[in-house]
Amino acid sequence: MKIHQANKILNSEITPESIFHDRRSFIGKSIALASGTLAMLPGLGRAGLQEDDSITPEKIVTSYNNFYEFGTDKSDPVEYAHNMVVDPWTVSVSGRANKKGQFSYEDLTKGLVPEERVYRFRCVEAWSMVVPWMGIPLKKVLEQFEPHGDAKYVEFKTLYRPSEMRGQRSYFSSIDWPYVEGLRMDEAYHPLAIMAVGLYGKDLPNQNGAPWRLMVPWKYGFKSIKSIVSIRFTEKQPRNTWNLLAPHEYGFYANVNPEVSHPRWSQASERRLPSSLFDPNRRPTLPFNGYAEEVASLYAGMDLSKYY
Amino acid sequence: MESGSGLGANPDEAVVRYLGEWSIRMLLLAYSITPISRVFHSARLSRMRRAVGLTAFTYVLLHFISYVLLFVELDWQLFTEDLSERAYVIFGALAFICLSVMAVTSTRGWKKRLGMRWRILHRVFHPAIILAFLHYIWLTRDGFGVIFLYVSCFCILAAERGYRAIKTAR
Repeated sequence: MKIHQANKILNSEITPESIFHDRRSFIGKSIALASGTLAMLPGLGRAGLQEDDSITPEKIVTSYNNFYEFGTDKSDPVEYAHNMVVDPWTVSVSGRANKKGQFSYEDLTKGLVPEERVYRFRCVEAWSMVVPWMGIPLKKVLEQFEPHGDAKYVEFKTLYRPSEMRGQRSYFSSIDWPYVEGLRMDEAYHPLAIMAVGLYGKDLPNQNGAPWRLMVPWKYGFKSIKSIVSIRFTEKQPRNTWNLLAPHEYGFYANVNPEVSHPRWSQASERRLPSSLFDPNRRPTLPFNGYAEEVASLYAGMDLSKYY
Repeated sequence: MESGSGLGANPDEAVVRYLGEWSIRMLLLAYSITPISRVFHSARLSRMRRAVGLTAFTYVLLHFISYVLLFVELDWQLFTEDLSERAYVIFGALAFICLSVMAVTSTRGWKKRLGMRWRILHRVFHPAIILAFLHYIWLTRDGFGVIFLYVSCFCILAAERGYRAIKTAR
């Protein structure tokens, strides 16, 4: 049965076993179960994927992480993130919106059905993965708060809890916790932007940003802020953590762009993980991480070498 | 699904980082031989200085080779881009040049030929290790604890040498 003639890749290549065998919790009861395979996903579920993209092994996605709240080594998050208590989880909403205050995670996600999205994930450190996320379109999450018309931006903050996050206790970190990120409202409302609540058909592991984190696939990974406890609607462009720390290296937009070089890493190519000693698996980086067709119009007329 | 090397998802990075980390550690060890042998009045230990120094340089050389093979992948254009645009690569390259000079002139023959100038030449270790620290600091995004430890060790060892130099000059 041919459903999607336009598929760029074979379904067999992108459907991980875990989605068939290892579903659990509410995510499992959601659309993944109803749809069965990625073949049945709406177009957005595979947007941007290239012919040679295959899903990165789950073990790598859950053990090779940047989550400096738990330490700066890639292996620190999987080792220490279990100390973070994610239940109960309270989210504070403030700024230019009608519905403000403290909300429980359960109340905010009630009735919102997570969708399966297999996205290319590109870190500013020039490595990349392909990850099957479960997520709620960010627009659906944010619309609940009825943001005002003058809310041009939305700012997110990660949990600040040094007692459970050893990186926040470190004397040798130059980050001013909590981690802050932001999006323009039209970016946040783009159908590709999701609030991820799971991966590989399971709840989001702590090291990947439980209970929910942004996933904005056309931007460098640091934009996709983890373990969100604060949402603020604002008229002014919010500062974001890495931009505050090194403004010449990290901008507000952080769209994946092979043309704009970075003082640490050439952004022209990337290593697709797992990479190996004899096969580095290096591939050219695509504008907007392969999502140019979908998102380039958001930045029409902008000088992307200035707004990097 | 495990990749076979045991070096994790990004083995190239793991190898280059491991060799770089041990380069700095071994350089500090070589730098500490003289004061330690002085404390323990051990001529045997002080004779090991060259061997330890050359071991350290072996790590440095392997670190450089692994960078050229695994990161640059012998791509000359990428190499020149790195050398002209990336501060940490420039610092690393300069440190490597200084240390290469030391390694080449470490033989008995060169020592004899250079005479008094040999000691002066080998003070190039100081700019070399400072460049190595800058190399490390520049490529670190956050989490400066380990570097702080290395720099502290170096400062203590350098202070000891400075103190002795002043004392003998009097």
